[in-house]
Amino acid sequence: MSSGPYNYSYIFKYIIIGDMGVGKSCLLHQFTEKKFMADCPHTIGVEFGTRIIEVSGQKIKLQIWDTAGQERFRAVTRSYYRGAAGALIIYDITRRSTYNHLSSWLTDARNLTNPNTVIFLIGNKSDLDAQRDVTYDEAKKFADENGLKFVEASAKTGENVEEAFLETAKKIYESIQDGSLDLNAAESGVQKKPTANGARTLSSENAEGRNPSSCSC
Amino acid sequence: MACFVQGITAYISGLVTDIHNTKDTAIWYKIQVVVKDVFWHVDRRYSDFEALHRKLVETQGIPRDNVVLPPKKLIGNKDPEFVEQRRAQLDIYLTNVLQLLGRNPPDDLAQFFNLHEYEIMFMLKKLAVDIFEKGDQILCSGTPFILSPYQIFAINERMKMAVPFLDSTDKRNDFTHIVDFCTNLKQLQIVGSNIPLGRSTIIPNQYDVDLSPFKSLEEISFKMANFNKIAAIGVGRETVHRISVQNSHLESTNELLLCDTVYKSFRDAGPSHVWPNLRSLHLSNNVIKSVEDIGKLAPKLRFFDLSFNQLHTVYNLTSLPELEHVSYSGNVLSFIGCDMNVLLGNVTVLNMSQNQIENLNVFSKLYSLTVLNLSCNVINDVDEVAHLSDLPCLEVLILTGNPVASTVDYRVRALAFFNERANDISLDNEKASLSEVDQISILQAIEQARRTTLINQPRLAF
Repeated sequence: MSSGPYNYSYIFKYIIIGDMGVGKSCLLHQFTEKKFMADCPHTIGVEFGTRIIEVSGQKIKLQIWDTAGQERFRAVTRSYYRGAAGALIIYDITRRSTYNHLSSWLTDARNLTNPNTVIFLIGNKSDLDAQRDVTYDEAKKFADENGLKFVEASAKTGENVEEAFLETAKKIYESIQDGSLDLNAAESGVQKKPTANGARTLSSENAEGRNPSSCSC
Repeated sequence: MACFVQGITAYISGLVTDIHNTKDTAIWYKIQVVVKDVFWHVDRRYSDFEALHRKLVETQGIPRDNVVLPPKKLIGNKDPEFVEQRRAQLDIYLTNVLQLLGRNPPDDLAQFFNLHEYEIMFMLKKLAVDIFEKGDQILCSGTPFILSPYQIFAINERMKMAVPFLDSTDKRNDFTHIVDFCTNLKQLQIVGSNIPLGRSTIIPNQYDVDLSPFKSLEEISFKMANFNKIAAIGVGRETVHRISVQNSHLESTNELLLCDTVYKSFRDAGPSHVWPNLRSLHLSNNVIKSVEDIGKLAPKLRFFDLSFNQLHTVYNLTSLPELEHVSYSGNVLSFIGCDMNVLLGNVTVLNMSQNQIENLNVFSKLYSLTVLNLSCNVINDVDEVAHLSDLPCLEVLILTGNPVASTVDYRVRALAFFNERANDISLDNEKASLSEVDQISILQAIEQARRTTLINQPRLAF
């Protein structure tokens, strides 16, 4: 059972940023737990989530930092940008103010990450189409002008959530493949697994298995 | 809290010779390293200073002219006057080096001051590398990972700090690896301490510990912990199935199970504080006086170990319908007021060893019992065993360490009470031997005869 979750060859680091209440934590929760968290509390400082995905036959572990949107945590959350391979900038399609602030988030992301960091724009709450305040076309235009990937997603229904995280990983993986992202660079946000040697992990597991649960009560 | 961001100072507080008792006459300088409200000591020789200086000149390019190490002296370097002069010069050297590099100490300097052992940032860097390399193996193995309250405190503090994780040299020491590991860790052991860490003034149990980074816990164990300082234990409410607390001065189960709430009683806390999956609770070697509300807080409990506490009475645990194993070993139980079945219900394994129990009548109706350990009590009379003779499932009975165990024919007489089941009972880890079986049947025959006569006698009297 245990060989599965720890079997991966790369680690990618992500950050999720955006205004307060746009659903950053809910998107993360939907992605890691495949569940919608209805009464999600405000994030204090940072939260964290992890999941292993597969891109082009490679198992990749995503380490995802979910930051607080509140202004008063800005100093703390800024220190998490460094060394991120992927940055997801979130706004709420039903609140124009969160969209208007995108350029400020983008500036932060550009200044504090490295040039290879994949930046993905997500318009959250696509399930609330009736209350829409920002059109798809407008946001798409913004994304194109700034060279960002873009989708509208819903943390509630799960629509496009998986896709956004996976697309980001796919792009990062492509950069590794074509050599534009240097694995060894300190701030690449990408790491090889320490002992990417499945056989070794397996044998050590067997060794554990040989003294069957002597510790258990 | 010790974090270099707050500034490091260091000075030589004394001289030490022959620290390893090897008749070595070398002089060691005892350096006191101070970071905010804590300090620690390291002992370094002149040659250590020299090596440090060489590395700093190489890697950090520190200016040779400003930061000068006092020169080497081959002869007469133990002369008290010279030593004192050198001490003063080295003191100045430390001040100068820290002025230049203290805000962002390179690894060589950190090692010289043992920052990896006491200072939050370097401690976590070291932990991150360990976890990056062995974390997955630890998670696979199912063995608990041990952390001290000071380490968890460091993790909590680090998350709040506005300082980037990466140093440009090594991605293995990224703090993210620690948080990743904590998020996925299932078995955590927290080992506290009330004595200072190493040669520092850091007392681990005085630091606040917030367990919220641990989101997948199934088993938590605390040793010598300080529950006044532990927050967010409820992070594991849904997932934890085993908790063990040892030597932690725990006074009640509520202190543990409601430790993250303002309320210390279930009546005020409410159903959101229930531990729905808690199956085993091991609370040996504490000072538990109350297990109030346990049935409400941990309704699925199966194993309940209350050994070596200060319990005077057996609590009513019938509110725990799934309870199987109970240990009250090593308490101060003497007189138990009513039948144990009223208090314990359906338990199958009961350990009452090392108490002050004299009479066994209260055990007579624990009909589900298969194992009963009564060793090291004050049972004097072998006839007390008669009270256990009707327990239909009993297989193991332990009476060693009682006065009765040294009486004549004890084993045979005790086993004889179990009538036809005598051969099925393991008494003091041994079933009846062949010769014992014979003696038991003789004893039982005599008893039978005696009863018949007793019954018949009155008739004869007519």
